[in-house]
Amino acid sequence: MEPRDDNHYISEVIAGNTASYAVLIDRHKDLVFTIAMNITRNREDAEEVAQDAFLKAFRKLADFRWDSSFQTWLYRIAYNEAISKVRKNKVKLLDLEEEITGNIAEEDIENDIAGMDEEEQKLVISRILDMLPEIDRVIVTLFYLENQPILEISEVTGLGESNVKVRLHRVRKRIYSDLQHILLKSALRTI
Amino acid sequence: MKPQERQDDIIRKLVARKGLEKAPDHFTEKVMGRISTSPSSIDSPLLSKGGWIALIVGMAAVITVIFTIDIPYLDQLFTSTGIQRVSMNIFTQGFLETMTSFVKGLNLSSISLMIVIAAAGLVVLDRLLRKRFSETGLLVI
Repeated sequence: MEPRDDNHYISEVIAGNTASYAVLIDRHKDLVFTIAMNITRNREDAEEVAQDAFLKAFRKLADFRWDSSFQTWLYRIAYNEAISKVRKNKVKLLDLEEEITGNIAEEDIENDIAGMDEEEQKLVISRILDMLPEIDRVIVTLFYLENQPILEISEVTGLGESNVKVRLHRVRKRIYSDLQHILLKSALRTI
Repeated sequence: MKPQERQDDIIRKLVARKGLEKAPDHFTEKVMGRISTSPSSIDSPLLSKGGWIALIVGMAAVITVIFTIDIPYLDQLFTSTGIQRVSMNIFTQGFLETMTSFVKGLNLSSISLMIVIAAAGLVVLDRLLRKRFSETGLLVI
């Protein structure tokens, strides 16, 4: 059977077919969980946040505006739940640190990365992302992984579009410079 | 390719390599289980937006008819119940004039007036707080 869009399943749920909500959960659970992980940095908390987000979205389904995207609406709920959880746990959200500028050319970086195996690449990017502030990790996930436009990211995070652009610019420089440092260190070790 | 685009390309490839976090096993079943055991189902508003508009317009129409249009039957009704009717005509006096004389004619006691203002204030405060805390994610429903 051809998969239907989210709105079809939302109509079914509102009409009383609660089981259809499972399709929406299956479709969005990984990204909702990733957003929760980006902010809580803890699997248990992230699971609780993701479950609460789906439950809240279910209860508030009647408020969903049909002209907007269900996934943006759902991700915003998840994002708010995660921020709320972090605040309850009194964990201070990190802010972006000073930028470090590197001096390795893009081409060299591309070559170095191409020389790594898949596991090494995963390890490098995980280390870099772990050092980023929570909100920036969400922005990176939405922009680079989900190819979401700035407007959607702005709606999910509640930040203004220009704020998202500025953060994206800074985070790009930060990731890139961290990448240069890691590659430089590993190059020095091999000498 | 511009340096920024090239950097984006490198980051995009690396982030894609890492991919999304996988939701824990049986995640869907757990959420569906919580939904089925949850006492509240989908929160549906008492009245839809259109319903509220219709109700307000309807009430305004009734109030306008009762207080502003001269209908002999209503005059008799007001006289028999001992309530003094403020006779106004919105069509001949104009809206502002009619409303002014309507408010003057209400003869609300100061306590009633305070109750009405306090109730309206609470409604506004409730709306503002809900909006504020749902935006920050601190509203627990």
